[in-house]
Amino acid sequence: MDALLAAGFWALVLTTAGIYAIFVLGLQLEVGDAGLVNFGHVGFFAIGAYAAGLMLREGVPIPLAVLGAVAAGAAAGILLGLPTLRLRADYFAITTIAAGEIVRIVVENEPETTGGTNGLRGASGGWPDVSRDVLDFFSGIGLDLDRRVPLLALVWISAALLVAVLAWLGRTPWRRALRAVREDEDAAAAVGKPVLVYKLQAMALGSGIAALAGVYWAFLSTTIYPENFEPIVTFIGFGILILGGMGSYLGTAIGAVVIGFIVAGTRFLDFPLAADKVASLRYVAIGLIIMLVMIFRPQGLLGKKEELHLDA
Amino acid sequence: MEGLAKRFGGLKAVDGAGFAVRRGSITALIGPNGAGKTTAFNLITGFLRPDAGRVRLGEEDVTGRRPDRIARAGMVRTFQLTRVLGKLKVLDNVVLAAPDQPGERLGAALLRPRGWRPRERALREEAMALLAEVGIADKADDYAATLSGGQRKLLELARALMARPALVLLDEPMAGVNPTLGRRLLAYLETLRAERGLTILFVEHDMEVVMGISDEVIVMAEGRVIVQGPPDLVRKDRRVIDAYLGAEPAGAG
Repeated sequence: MDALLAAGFWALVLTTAGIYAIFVLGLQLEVGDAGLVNFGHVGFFAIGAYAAGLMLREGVPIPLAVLGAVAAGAAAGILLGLPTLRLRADYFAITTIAAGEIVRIVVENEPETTGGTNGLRGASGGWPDVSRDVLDFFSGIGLDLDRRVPLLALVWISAALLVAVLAWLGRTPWRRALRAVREDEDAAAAVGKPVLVYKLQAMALGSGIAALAGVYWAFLSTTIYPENFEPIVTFIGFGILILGGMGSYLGTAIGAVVIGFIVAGTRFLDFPLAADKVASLRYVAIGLIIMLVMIFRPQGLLGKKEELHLDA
Repeated sequence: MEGLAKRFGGLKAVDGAGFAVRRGSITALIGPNGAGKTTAFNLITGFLRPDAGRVRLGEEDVTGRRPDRIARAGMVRTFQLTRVLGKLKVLDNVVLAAPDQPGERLGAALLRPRGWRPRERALREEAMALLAEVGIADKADDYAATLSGGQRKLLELARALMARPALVLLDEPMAGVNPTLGRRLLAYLETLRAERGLTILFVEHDMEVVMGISDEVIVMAEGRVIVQGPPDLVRKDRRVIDAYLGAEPAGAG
């Protein structure tokens, strides 16, 4: 278990957790605030990763590529939302899971553009250079950091900013209307709220945020593969959502660290088990956590308990 | 509205019904169960698309528009089976209905708090006043899901009024409300009409209430309007008595 003592290990685990945190903040907005059970969230994560990767490979400046990827994710969210948001919740969920898979399968089958199953190399573009410059600057002032720290910082600063913005939005009339739509579309419409507009906005924001997580994933991995974007990623996201608590942005961040540790951290620990068994055990552990949360703290770590029992 | 029709499969729920509600009047819509009153409400307010017929508000044709557009145009409804937003506070349920809160737009909410903060304060006061009028001000900070059935009716009424309608459509507003409060509500509705020129169309089964407060009564049976007129005339109308007693419609039997 020496890995637990290495700075690099924690940097990697926490970066992964931070990416998950951002990913799930998008999900929180859709599921927690707008009531849109989106099982295809990973699709927007993939769109962000590939959009950024493709642009960065073409030499697009990093800030522009980030913005472009987020915009692509948001646009894709609207595109998916337009035909599907009129569906009832259960049909919406089914359609989104298919949509997420469509993204992955398209990526897999367009090897000329995306590298297909061989992966998209150099998806982080000029980021490693920027990261190195940052590290050089800090070693210049006598601080030798692990090579993953710049991305770690970038990811968590982004996550913190997102939490702040979402928490701020949470106190606005906009979110009240959004929650009204979640609670009862007809009641919201009866007092003049344009239901579809609110749902589309939630989809666009949530998907844009997922795309941002995808960009950071590309930064972290450098080479991205379609297999990074399987449906399980969405469900890990839901696990984080349940653990952290519905409606709590801070809870999402905490849940992401716990689940992120299980998903990414256990990779580097020495278990007296074959690797594939460890991989399966990870999901067993996440499943167990979800069950325990459901039994002992159904509102999640920071969710509001009183809201859980209020079904009008 | 005129010639409204809606069928569900083979069932003609509303079958060519037409009536007019005079501006500034209190009009009751009555009829036996299954007459199509609630369906008519749904057709008028955009929750159902009519198969035929037109709905006009003043000069404006609002047929087939989305419910939120119709609400914005000034026709606001309540529901027979109340639809309060249980996980929102009672006060928020009411404030939500305000038609003019710029902070409900995403961009403004995020970037221009000065544009909506003062408005929010004013709206909360207005909503508190409305809650006081309907008699549930002490519940303002509770989750709406904790309200009783009657209190939910009152909350829905307050919410509908907060939307500043020209015409409110109340689907059994008194059902489940205790009689004392019910009478106060009636008085309040009359005040609103006098002060704001509010037009009220309501469905109600309590004939005493209907005859006591209404300027006009519309009677529906089997998807059609059979009589429309002042309460005194409607009360004595043979067709109405037949409809309620389940006899054959006049003319057929």
